Amino acid sequence: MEKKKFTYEEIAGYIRNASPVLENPEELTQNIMAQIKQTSKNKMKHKIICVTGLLSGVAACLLLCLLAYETIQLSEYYCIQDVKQISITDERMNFSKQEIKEMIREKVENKNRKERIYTLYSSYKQKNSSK
Amino acid sequence: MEQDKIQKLIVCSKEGDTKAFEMLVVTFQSLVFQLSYRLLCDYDDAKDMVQEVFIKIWLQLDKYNPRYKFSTWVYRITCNMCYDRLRSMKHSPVSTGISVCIDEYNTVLSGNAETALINRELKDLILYFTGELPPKQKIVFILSDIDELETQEIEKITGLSAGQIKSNLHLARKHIKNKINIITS
Repeated sequence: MEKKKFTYEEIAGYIRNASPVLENPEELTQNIMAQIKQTSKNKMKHKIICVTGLLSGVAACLLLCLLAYETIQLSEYYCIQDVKQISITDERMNFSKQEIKEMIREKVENKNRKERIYTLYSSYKQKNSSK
Repeated sequence: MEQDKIQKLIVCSKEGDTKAFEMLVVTFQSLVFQLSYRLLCDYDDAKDMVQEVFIKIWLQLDKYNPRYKFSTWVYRITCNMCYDRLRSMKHSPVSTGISVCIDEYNTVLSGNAETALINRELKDLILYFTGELPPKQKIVFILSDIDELETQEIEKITGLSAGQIKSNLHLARKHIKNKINIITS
């Protein structure tokens, strides 16, 4: 058992002491640095793209806000105009039953009158065409 | 290198000083290479790993917590990346002997036969004893018995608890002892 333990230690010690040898460590360092400089450039490009994207995003948001604001402003303006028109045309908003009946009757009469004129005109046109 | 000097280099590197970072690379690249080689048992893979680790360190330098030693953080990143590689290697098809022969042939041609021989011997030895170990056990064995790190530091590096480290180490030692028994018997 003692012999086994010693052998294990021996093997571990051999692996520990026999370090792998790296050929041309300077060349490897140069390769690493070249790659790092390349990634630094890419990082810079990526940063520029990110900043540009962020700025255009902010600009788009501002434009959207402006458009929304103008739309709200315009709709408010038209609402005010509509209210003004209503107040001009119909000063009174409350009507009695009698007045409503009167208004309906007037509308119906107008409609009938228009229909009568139309029938008269069509009969007159038919007569002219037959002649 | 002293801790204060390393901290200064880290601060400079965070500000984008590549010269300062180069100093860090020179200081820690052998540590990363040795750990990667012992875990991956392949020269080219270990070299690639060194590059990947330092690029990751450069990109994530802002995440480094100065409360811990920089070497611990480097160990942590290396172990995590090697662990992923070992796991992916487990699922990929086993490399044939032909590719190994070509690698050796290239190394001999480049005039570094002695270095290649040292690396080859070490690779054979590590592969024989730890080749069949699961990645976690292999990492714990290398950190504990080869790099001789303390359990607290291994906890920080691997994220495992003391108990888990102990059990993984026990299983790894048992496996290696069995392998030694096979040789001696």
